[in-house]
Amino acid sequence: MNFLDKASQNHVWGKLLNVAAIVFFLFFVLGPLFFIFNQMGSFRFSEPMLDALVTSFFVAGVVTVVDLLFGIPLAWLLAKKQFPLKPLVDGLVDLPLIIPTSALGLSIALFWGQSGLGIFAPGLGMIVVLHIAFTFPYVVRTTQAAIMEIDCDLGRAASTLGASPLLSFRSVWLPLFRTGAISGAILAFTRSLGETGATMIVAGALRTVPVLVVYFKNSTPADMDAAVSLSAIFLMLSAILFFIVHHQSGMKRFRLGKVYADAEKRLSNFGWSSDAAGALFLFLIVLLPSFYFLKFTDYNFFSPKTMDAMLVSFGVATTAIALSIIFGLPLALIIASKKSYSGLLRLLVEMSMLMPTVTIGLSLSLFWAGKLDEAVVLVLAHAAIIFPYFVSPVSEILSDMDKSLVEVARSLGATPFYAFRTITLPLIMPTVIAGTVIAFMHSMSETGGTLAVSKNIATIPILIVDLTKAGQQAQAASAAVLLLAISLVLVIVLRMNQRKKW
Amino acid sequence: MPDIRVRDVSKYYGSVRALAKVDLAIHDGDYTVLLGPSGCGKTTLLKIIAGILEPTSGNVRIGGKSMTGLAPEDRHIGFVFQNYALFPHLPVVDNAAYGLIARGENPDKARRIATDMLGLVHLEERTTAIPRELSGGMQQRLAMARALSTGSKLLLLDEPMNALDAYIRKELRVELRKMVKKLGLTAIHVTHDQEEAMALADKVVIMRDGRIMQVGTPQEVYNHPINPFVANFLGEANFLRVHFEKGKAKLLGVELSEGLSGDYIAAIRPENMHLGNEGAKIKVANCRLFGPYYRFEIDYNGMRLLVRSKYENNDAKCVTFDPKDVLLFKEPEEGLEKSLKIE
Repeated sequence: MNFLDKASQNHVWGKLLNVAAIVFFLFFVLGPLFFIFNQMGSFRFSEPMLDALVTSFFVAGVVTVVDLLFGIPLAWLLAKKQFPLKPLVDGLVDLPLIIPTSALGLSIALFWGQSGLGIFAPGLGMIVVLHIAFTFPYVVRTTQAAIMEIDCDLGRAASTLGASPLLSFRSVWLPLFRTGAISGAILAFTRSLGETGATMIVAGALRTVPVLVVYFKNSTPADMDAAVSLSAIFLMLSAILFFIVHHQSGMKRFRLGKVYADAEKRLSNFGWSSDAAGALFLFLIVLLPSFYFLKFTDYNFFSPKTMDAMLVSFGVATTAIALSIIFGLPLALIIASKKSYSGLLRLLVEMSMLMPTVTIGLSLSLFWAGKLDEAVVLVLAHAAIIFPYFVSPVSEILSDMDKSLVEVARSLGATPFYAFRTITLPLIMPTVIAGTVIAFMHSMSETGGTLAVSKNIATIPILIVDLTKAGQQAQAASAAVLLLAISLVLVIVLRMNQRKKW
Repeated sequence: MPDIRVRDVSKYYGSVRALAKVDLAIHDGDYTVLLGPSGCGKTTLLKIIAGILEPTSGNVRIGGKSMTGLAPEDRHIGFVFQNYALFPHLPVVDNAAYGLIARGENPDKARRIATDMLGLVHLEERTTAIPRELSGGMQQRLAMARALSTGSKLLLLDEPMNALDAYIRKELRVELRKMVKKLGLTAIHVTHDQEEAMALADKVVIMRDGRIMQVGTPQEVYNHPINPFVANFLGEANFLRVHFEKGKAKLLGVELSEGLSGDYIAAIRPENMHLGNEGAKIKVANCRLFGPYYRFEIDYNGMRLLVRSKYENNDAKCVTFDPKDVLLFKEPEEGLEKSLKIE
C-alpha cells in the first residue's frame, strides 16, 4: 500500500488509470453495442419482425401504464402513511426482483395457466401479467423515493392554505415527484422491452423482439442477418426513446387551474380506496403469482445438471463483477469529478443500462466471433450488462460526497491514493457493496444476453428455460428455488449493510 | 375576532414530553412572540394551534370555536414555515394565489388579488419568477404574501427569519411588525432570538422545557423577570447569593433593605453596574468594545462579574450599583446552576 500511496502522487498513474477505465467502457461495453450496426450488411425486414416490434412496444406500454396506475398509490401509501406491519409490506415490494426472471416466467405460467387459475393461456395476456410482476417494484421504489425526498412542510403549507388532501396531492406532490415516477416508468418500460428468458416461457406462439432475435439466431445461419437487423432497429428505437424521455423529464413550471374545492374535499374521503387498490395489487397480482412455483418443486436441488449450471453461473458472475469493479471504480470517480466529459459518460452509462440485454449479447458474440472462446465472450457480455449497475450508484454517491473531506485529508499530508483508501472508500463502501450485490444478482439471473451468446454453455436461468420447455417443471422449479435462495442470502447481506454506521 | 385560547394542552411523543399542560390566552390584534431555547416546545405549540399537530390532551379555541379535530385547511389561518415551504414548481404569483384558488376562487381573480398582495411586500416585479430564483429575503416576503392573501386575520410564524443574514433580518422585522399592525392581524411568532422578540412583540411568552415561564410585555419580562432563567435568557445578568437578616443584607458593599429574611439570589444586569472609585474593590480582567458599549469582565474576590459601560476604564478599582436595580429571587428548587441552563 505504501508504494501505491507514493506512486499516486505522480499524476501519470492517475491519468493512466482513467484512460484504462474509459477505454474499457467504450471498447468493451459500448463499442460492441454499436458494432451491430456495422453488421447490417444485408438489411432485412419482414412481417414477423414488424409484428414482434409492435407486440414488444404494446406490451411495454400497457405494462407501464398499469404499473403507474397501481404503483403510485402503493408508493404513496408506503412513503406517507403509517399502518401496522408497514416494514414487512415495504420489504415485500422488492421480492419479485430477487426471483430470477426465468423462474418468474415459470411461476406466472403455472399460476395463471392451466395448472393454476386457468385465466390466461400462454400469449399476450400472460406476457403482460409476467412483465407487470417484475417491473412493478421499479415504479414503486423510484416513486416512493421521490416522494420521500419532498419536504413535508410543502404539504403542510398547502393544507394551511386551505387545500384538501386530494388537491394537495395533485397540485403539490404529484408535480414534484413526477420526475421520479417517470424514471421509474422508463426503467419498467425498458425492462419490459428487453426481457427474454421468462417471456419465452409464457409467450406461446407470440413473439416479442428479444424472443424473435433468439429464435432467428438459433435457426439457420441465413437468419442471422434478420437477427442482426431486428436487434439494430430495436436498439435504435430504445435509444431514441431514452433520449426523448430523458429530455422531457426535467423540472417543469406549472400553473394552477380552477379548483372545485367542495367536490375535491368530498373525494378526499375516499383516499382509503386507492391505498387498498395499491396493496391488493401488490399481493394478488405481483407477489402471489411470483411465488406460486414454490408449490411445484420436486426438492431435488442438487442434480448434477443443476450443479454444473450453478458452477457456470457463479464463475461467470464472479469474473464479470471483478471486471466491473476494477474498471468501474475509476470510471465512477471520473463521472463524479465533474470533468467536461463527465456528463456525457454518465449519460452513456445510463443508456447502456437500459439497452435490451439480448442485443448486447448478440452484438458481443458477433464482435468477438472466432477471436475469443465462447466462455470468455459470455463473461464479457455479462460484464457489459452489469457494468452500469455497479457504476451508476457508485458514481452517484461519489458526487454526493462532501469534497472538502478529501481536501482536508490532502491538507493533512495524505497522498491521493492514501486519501482515497482511508477517507473516500470507507464512506462509499456500503454503496460499493450494494452495487456489487445488485450487479452480481443481475448476472446470476441474466437470460437474454446469455442466450444470445451461448451455444453449449448453460447457466442456471438457461437451464430453467430449457427444463420448462421440455415439460420438466418440477425440476425447473427446484433449480429456481436454489437460485432464489442465493438471491435471498445476497439481499440479506445487502440489507444488513445498509444500516448506517456513523 | 381571533381571540385564541389554549387550555391545558399537553403533547407527548411516545414518552417524551414536548408540552406540559400549557394555558395561554392571546388577544385579538396582539403580536405575540413565543420565545425559548430550542426544544422548549414553542414550535410544537404553534403547530398545535395551526392544526398541523394534534395535542395529546387539552384543546384550542380560535374566536370562541373549538378547533379539536379540525384539519389545518378548515382553520382559516396563515402560516409561515421555517424554511418558507414555497412551492418550487409554481411561479411566484401562483404561490401567492394558492390559498385563494384552493378554496375555489376563480384563478384569474385569485391572481389579481395575489398580485396586489405581492405589491405590499415589494414583489410585484417578480410575479413570473419561480421561488428559487428569488433571494432569501424575497422568499421570506413571498411566504408572508402567500399566507396573507387568503385574507386570514391570524398569522402564525415559525422562526421566519432563521435563514436570513443578520442585516436583512433586522430590516425585515421592522417591516413585518408594521405590516401586521397595518392589516390589523393577530400574529403568533416563534423564535429563539430574544432581540427579535423584543423588537416585534406586544406580548412575549417565555417557554422552557414544555412549560410557559412568564407572559408579559417586553418591558415586564426584561425588568421584572419571574425567575433566574427568564432573567438570564433575556439578557446577561450577574447572579449573586445574598442573605437577609432582620430585613437587611449587604451586597458588594451596598446595603439592601427589602424587609425579607433568609437566602436569596440577586441578579444585576451588567448595564446597571457602575465602575468608579467607590464601592466594592475589584480588578478589571478584560475589556472589549462591542460597538455601542464596552463589555468588562471584572474580578471580585475571585468571582467573575460583567459590567457594561459607555466609557473605557481599565484602571477602575471599584464597582457599585443602585439598590433599586437589583432583582431578587428565591433559590430555585433545582439549584441556581441548573435553573440558568439554556439548552
